[in-house]
Amino acid sequence: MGAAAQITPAERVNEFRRVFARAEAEVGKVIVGHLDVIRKLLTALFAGGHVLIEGVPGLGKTLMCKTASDALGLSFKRIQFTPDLMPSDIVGTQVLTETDGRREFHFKPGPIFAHIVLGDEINRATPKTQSAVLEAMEERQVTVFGNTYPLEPPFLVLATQNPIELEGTYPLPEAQMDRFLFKVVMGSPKPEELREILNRTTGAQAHVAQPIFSPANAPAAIEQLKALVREVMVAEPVERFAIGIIGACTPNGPGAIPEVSQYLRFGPSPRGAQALILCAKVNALLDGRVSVSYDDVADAILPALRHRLLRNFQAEAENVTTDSILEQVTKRLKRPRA
Amino acid sequence: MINPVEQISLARRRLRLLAAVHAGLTLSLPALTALALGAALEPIAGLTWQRMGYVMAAQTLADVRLALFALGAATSGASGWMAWAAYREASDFVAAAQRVDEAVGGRQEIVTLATLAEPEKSESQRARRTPLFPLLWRRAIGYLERFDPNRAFALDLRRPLVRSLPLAVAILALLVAAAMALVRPPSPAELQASKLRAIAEQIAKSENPSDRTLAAKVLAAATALENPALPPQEKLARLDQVMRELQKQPPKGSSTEQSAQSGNTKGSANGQGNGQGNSQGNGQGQGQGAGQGAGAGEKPNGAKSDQQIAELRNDVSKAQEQIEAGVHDESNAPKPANGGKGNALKPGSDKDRKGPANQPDALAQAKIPKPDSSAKGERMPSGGKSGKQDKGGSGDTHLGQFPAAEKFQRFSLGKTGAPIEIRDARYVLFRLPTEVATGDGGKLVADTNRPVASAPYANVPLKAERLDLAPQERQLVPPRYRDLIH
Repeated sequence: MGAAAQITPAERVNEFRRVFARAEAEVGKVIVGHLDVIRKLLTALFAGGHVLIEGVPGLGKTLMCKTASDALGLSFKRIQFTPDLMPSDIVGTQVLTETDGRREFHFKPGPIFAHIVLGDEINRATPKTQSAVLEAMEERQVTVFGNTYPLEPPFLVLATQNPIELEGTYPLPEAQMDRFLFKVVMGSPKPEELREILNRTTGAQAHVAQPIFSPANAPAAIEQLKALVREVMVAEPVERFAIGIIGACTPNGPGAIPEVSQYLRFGPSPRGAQALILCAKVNALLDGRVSVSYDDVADAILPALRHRLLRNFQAEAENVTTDSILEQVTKRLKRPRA
Repeated sequence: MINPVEQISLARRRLRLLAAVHAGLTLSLPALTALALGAALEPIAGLTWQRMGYVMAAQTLADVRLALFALGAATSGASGWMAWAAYREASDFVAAAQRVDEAVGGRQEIVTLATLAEPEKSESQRARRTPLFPLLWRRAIGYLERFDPNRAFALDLRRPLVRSLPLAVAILALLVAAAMALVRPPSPAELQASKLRAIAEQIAKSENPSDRTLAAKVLAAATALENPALPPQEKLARLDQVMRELQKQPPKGSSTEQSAQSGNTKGSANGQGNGQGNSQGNGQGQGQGAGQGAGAGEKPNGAKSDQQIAELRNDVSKAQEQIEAGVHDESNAPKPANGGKGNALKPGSDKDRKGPANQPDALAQAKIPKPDSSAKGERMPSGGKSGKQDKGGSGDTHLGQFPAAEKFQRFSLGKTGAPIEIRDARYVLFRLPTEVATGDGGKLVADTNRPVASAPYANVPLKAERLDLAPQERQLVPPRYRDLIH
């Protein structure tokens, strides 16, 4: 901390940009394309949020998360969610052990005790199990048999869900979806990207991400960078702009556009505004600024709000997606003028 | 090193000024339009509806002018209020910073700095500053180093003026609509007044003081003629003044003596002194002598011509006639009895009422149609021509339709009584005996049953000596004969 206080703000900003760019590059060594998803993933890490990744199987979701943790020098655990997965399988449980002739319960931490946790196909687990993970995401601690165990920061949950094969799944409730900072959608690779994927994965040369931090220093270093994100300043008009976006996405709200009132049942919660500002702060730092601009906020609209809008029956019947509604909101958004 | 807060303050001062000027200018054009239209209403009237033969009542014109001035004043006041409101609104420090931000492309860094360093809220905002604030300050300096508020926020007059153009056009359209609604064809008096005014303006160009005096009086008479509030007697008095002034004017010969002198010099030089002599003056000899000089010489600049004088006399006498006709119409018009309630008294039903024959000015009040009379419905025995079409060839001399007798005695056959008193009669009507054809030769035989009058009468005014007296009515004289009657 003392060392951090001696360096100037400009150096801190430059360090953040350097780390972020290097992390992107290291992940990019393994993952072909999906630059926007990688950036959002890292953004969520430094903003202190969690990411829900949606995509069909085989796009490299798991590999991306593993590579990111490797690049940052953070611990990584993967949980494959299945219908018979129990909460104790995730958070851990008390086990009876015998030491010096005495039998005692000892807490055996589950896979949730890691810096980066990948919950694969989270919608396949029962709601009970899902809620155990979501509690850990929000509280950053778990409680087992009355004992509370904090999760070591940085703590990032990357949950994936498959948009197809919905039979036998338990879609996440809206309240739990709201706890993810971002929802990113991974699309299919382009032909050139697919060719590169083939070259990298079927050849003899292995592509491995080099860690930026050593595992011992990584958590502290990343926490310092997360603190820097929180120090980025936001002007009052920019805050009003973000609030206006939330109002525009709220059905029958003061600034709601007709499509929002027509197709949505509920709009984003205050967590949506928090997500907008946090993402905007990271965007500002990446641009070398220490204050948020309107563009930084606008850039965060889609990943930060798409999973917070609850469509009504008409929207589902007409196959109107939240993305299309948010695009309309973005188009008609008016920035505050002097 | 510059201080970003001071730079933003400078920009705010500039923006306040600009906002006030722009807001003020937004209504300046309508205000100027209204005031200019109010000031130039008379020339506009002369160029537009008056040229087309329409008039607007003087009071209405004054009201329209007053309304335009009031509109201009109100718009000016509103313009001032808007300027003040804009000045106050532009005093927001953060809003000024936002304008600066847009000007320098600061991506809201200047706004953020202003939010956290606003002088008025310095203490409250200081708590929101983070350790990154010095970096923000330095970056703001970088943006504002080359920033000049006067250059960045230049005075743009075009936008507010263009914005105010529709309102100015609306005021103009309002005036046009009001003019179309308020103008009307001129009354004969107003027409006459305009003619008098036109002649007066021509005479006023003269350098002769007496001409200017005459022009002033003619103008005053024209103004009086148009004034509906002025009693007819007053108007007549003004016209009489003008007429007297016209009579004071030197006759044709003497009035042109000066020009004759100048004309003589030129005439002798040219050897041609036989200019056109005026055949209209007093006396042929005098007119002849003066006319020779005037014909060769040049007329002094602006001096009234004989034709102008003749026209003036003609117009003045026409105006007098119109006023008198108006007075007679008013006095002869039946007035409603009992304040307009109940049955009105019919003409002739009042036995005690004296007829016009017993009144001293009975002839003057007798309703005799005149060629220029504005009374409508009076048929003029002028070969079917209307009064307007009748140029005075024969219409000026006839007596028109005879008035209905209000007091008369009918002499019938076989009735005897008091002798007919026709001494004061103006006209006498005769019924000639009917022709009776007898035999094939068509021989006429006198009607023996014709009525026989007990008093002699003739088909001429009975009192010839009264004709020598000054007539009690004024009759219009054809213009071409008027100069002969002096």
